[in-house]
Amino acid sequence: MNRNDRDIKLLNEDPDRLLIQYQPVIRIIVRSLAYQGYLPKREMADLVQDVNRKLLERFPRIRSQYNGKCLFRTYFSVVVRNLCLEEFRRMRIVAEPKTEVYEQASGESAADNLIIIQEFQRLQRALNLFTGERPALWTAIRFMADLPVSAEHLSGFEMDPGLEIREKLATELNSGANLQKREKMEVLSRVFNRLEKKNRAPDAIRKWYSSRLEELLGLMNGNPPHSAYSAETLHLLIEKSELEGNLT
Amino acid sequence: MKEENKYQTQRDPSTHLSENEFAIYADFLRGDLKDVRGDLKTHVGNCTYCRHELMAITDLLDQVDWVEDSGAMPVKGIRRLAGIKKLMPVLRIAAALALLLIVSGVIQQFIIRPGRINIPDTVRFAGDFVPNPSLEAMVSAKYRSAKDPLVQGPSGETVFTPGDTLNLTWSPDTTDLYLVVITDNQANEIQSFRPGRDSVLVWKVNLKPGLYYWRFDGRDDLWRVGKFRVIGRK
Repeated sequence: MNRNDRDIKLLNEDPDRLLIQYQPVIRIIVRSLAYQGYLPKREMADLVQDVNRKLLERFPRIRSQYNGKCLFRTYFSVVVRNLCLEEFRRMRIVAEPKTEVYEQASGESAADNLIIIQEFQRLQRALNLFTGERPALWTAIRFMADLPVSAEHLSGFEMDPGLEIREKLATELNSGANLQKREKMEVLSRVFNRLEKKNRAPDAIRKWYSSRLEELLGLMNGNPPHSAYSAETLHLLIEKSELEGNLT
Repeated sequence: MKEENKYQTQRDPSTHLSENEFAIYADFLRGDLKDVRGDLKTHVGNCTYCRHELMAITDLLDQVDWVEDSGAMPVKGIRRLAGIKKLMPVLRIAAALALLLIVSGVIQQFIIRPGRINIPDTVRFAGDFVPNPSLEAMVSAKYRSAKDPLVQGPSGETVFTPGDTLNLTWSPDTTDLYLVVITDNQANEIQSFRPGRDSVLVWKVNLKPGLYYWRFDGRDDLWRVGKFRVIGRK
């Protein structure tokens, strides 16, 4: 019996014990949100108690609503997070900037590499949230960062013109590496129009890219912000990740 | 886990994801599920709110994984309890124990052990580029004085790559004694120069990526503070 099966068994048979087993997870979530500035740290213990009380009341509902299509731990974590946020709203707590953001990461290269791997995984996850637009956004980011674009990067668009055409389009993008931003948008417009069977003007591509990039940076930085990514540092992350061989 | 039913009723696209759907999508993003329903993907692709929620949830789950994997929290060995009335005092004890362990875990973070790799805090990757509030307040400030050497240097928008040259110029006052200091965004001194009677400083930038500040001191006055960024590309 794996952990998920055990959790579900406890949910049905012994929710009190399940709650005790999940104390570390509850605490991590409360602590994490508290550290994001939502809550004065001294009130953490009280909030944990409130969350426990509400969870005890809510177990029948959790049992009926959990549909078993995801890990119970994931579902439970989402519920706990929502309970915390509900409490914050009730207490009218406003997010404050996180002071830890000014702390310096250690200079150890091993730690730096781990951070790059983790952050690159976060970036990939954030990109995946753009679902259908992911290939275009990833291609555009690489192109704007003067990073090589391959035929593989150009797969997954609405239309697949075939490997040969994709290779040609990738070459066109790679030869435009040192162009000005305006000219780059013209190249992107040509390539995307070919791959999406649309007729988007360079200015439309520019607006689309600008809004998506802004949102991507927002996802990476969090709300309230816990990082200070800009387009430049994002490019740097991709570049460093590729140098370290972490690229998927 | 149950398999996703491809033929089940489509969700209302105008509403945000439910707790179940957020959990399913979070498992998908974290690689615990191979795929999710197309209507969920469509909604997430079109909904900024759900994208932000999912990113926050997956970041949170990463932290849960990390703390659990590091063994900082005890999960086993807690007595089974029958009812809510009995549960609450034990929960309080468990909470106190867990809090104690968290505190000890935090203290351990400050103990330096040879060969131990510090687990990174993912939120700090861009920390080298975070502006320093104290120094920011001084950047480009003007000082009204007859002895002002009118220092010219990189503006806040200047971006260097390793190997580029930083140039500072000024009109020297022979009675003053200048000191140029380069600091990182934590105000740690990286390099300092005594330019003597020169009126120009040329320095080859060889710094790791980050935000840096330069400070031009006189004998009694701080004349100018500026900043620049270094990125890794050449």
